[in-house]
Amino acid sequence: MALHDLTPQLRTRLGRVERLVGLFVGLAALLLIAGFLYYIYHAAKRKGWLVTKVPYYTLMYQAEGLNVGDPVKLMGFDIGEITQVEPMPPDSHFGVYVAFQVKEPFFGYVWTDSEIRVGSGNLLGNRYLEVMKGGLSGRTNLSATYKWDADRHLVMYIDPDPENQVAGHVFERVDMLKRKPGPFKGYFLLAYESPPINEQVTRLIQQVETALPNLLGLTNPIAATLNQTTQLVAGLDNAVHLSKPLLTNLGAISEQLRDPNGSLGRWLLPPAIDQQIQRALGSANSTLNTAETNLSLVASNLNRSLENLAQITGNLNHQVQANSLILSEISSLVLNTDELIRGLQRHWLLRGAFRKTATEPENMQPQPSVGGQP
Amino acid sequence: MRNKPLDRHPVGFPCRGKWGAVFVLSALVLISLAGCAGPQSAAPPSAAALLAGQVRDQAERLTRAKNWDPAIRAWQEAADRYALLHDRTNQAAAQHRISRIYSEQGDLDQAHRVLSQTAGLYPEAWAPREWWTVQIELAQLETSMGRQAEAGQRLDSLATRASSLSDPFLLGTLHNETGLMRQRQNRPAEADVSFRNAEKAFSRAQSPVGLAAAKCNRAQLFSAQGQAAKALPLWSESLRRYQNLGDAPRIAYCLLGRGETALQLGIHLEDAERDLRLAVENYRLLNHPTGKLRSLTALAECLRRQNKTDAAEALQNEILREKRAAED
Repeated sequence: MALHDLTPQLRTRLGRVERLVGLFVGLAALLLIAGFLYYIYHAAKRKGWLVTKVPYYTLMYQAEGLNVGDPVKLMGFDIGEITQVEPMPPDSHFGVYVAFQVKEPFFGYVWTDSEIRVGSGNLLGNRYLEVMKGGLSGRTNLSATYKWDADRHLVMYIDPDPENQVAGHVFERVDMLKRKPGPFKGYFLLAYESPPINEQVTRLIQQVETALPNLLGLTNPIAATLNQTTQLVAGLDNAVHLSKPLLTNLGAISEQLRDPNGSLGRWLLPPAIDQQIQRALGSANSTLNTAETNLSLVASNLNRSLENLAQITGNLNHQVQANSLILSEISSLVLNTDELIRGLQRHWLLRGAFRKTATEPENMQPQPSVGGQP
Repeated sequence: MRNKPLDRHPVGFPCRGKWGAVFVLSALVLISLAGCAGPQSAAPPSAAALLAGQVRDQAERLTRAKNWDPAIRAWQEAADRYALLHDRTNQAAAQHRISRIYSEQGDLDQAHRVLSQTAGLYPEAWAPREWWTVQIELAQLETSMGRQAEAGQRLDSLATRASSLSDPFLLGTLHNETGLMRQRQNRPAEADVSFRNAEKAFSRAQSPVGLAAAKCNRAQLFSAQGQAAKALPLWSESLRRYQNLGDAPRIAYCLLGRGETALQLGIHLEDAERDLRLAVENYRLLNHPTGKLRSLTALAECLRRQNKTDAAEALQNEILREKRAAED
């Protein structure tokens, strides 16, 4: 049914619905585009597309286990990837040219004394590059390999005197370096590579193969030693057979010693002494138990007494502190009491109660001598 | 009917009204006034004097415990403290005690030295009793040290002043020592007179110790003179007195003397044997080897006189052993 066949009311209503659908579709398309852009941004951020990457290169003897795209590590982080693995010209000392990129901000850790360690990745022969953090060499004349200058230009350290390192720090802008004739390789780092595991295993097997004839040569002396040991064991067996009567006699003697009536203990200690010792030990045990009980009682009583004494002294101290004049008062009390007693001693009614006791000194009369004594 | 008023004091204290209370109060006031009328107290002793007295008491206790060396040190400290206080009486008393301790220990030289110093602290006119005591003891020490001439001169000098001595005990002691000196000078008659004078003085002093000593000395004087008949009752008398006093060494000596005297007389030999056996046992208990040896010798003689030769021979071995021990 064509549109113009509809009534004007229906056409008006239908046109409104069409606009709404169009708006909805447009919004959906915008949301889709926004999500896609965000995904792209996130992926670029994750893969480092948006960060600055600086080039480095190194020279190695062999490229086994190294592939383009393999990660480069620093302190356990993936800081970049290998971008190129190429063989060097035949007359070159090194065999392989390896280029790699390092993302910002990790190139800040790579200094002029940084090195590359080529580690073994797994048993399949993979290897990886690990850049060592700068500043570990102990040298003082160090510099960053790349940095941002004051004008926000990326600059690279150019070593004008790599042998003596006396020329100071010289940086040159990277974009200027890229404009120079010839390819721009980036900063060179020295690599220390360890042989792959396969090669190490091969070397080990070769050493074992070399040592094996010597090991096989040891078998003859070992066989001779074993023969002599066998003969020795046979001799020992005969000796054991011969010593059987001796062992029997020793067994009989030990049985005799174990017999209470004939044992060495009985010879040294008669039964009466044994019983007396047992009785004495029993008495000593009971005495010790009693002493322990009494000692614990004494200790507890002593502890209680000490506590009471501590309380008494504490109270006394408190009293003395509370009554600072108590000593002078006691002194005056003693003096007054002494005067009172002296007065009572003089009183005719009480004089008799204070007669001198037997503590008077002895009579100092001379003793008459007796002559003629033996 | 009018009620009888209640008795205020139905039982107990017989009240005579207010006069009773007045009487009791008056009695209390009189008693108090009588006490107040007593002699005024001397000034309280100084702290230094009290301290010296404490040291003296400590020395007295040490002396009673026969802890001789600490006692000597304590007496010396007391003497020094009294010397600082110019208390010569107590200083001399402390030194006198030191001399006694040295004498007890057998150190007669030290005893004589200290006692001589003490004598200088006791002027005769000021402390006559103490002065006489020190002088007599000096004479006794000199006798014990074998300085007979010195002792004789001292006793003769004292005898000339005896009339001024009022204390009968000291007088008796002086006569006793004089009698012993006369005996050593082989003047037995004068010795007997001195011993008799000593007995009289001791009787006046009512001193059993002095009487026993005087009787004993007379007995040994008569025994030494061979007058056993006179000596025997005196030995018995002195033995009885010393037994009453509980003086063990003198009891042993009297038993020995009586046994020897009976042996000398040749009568009552069984009694003499008993006395001598007791003397041997006493001297053994007293750990007195010289006395034991003399008693054993007399006992062996007594046994021989009684024809108990076997027992006497048996004693000879013990006598030889005791002689060797005495020589060692």
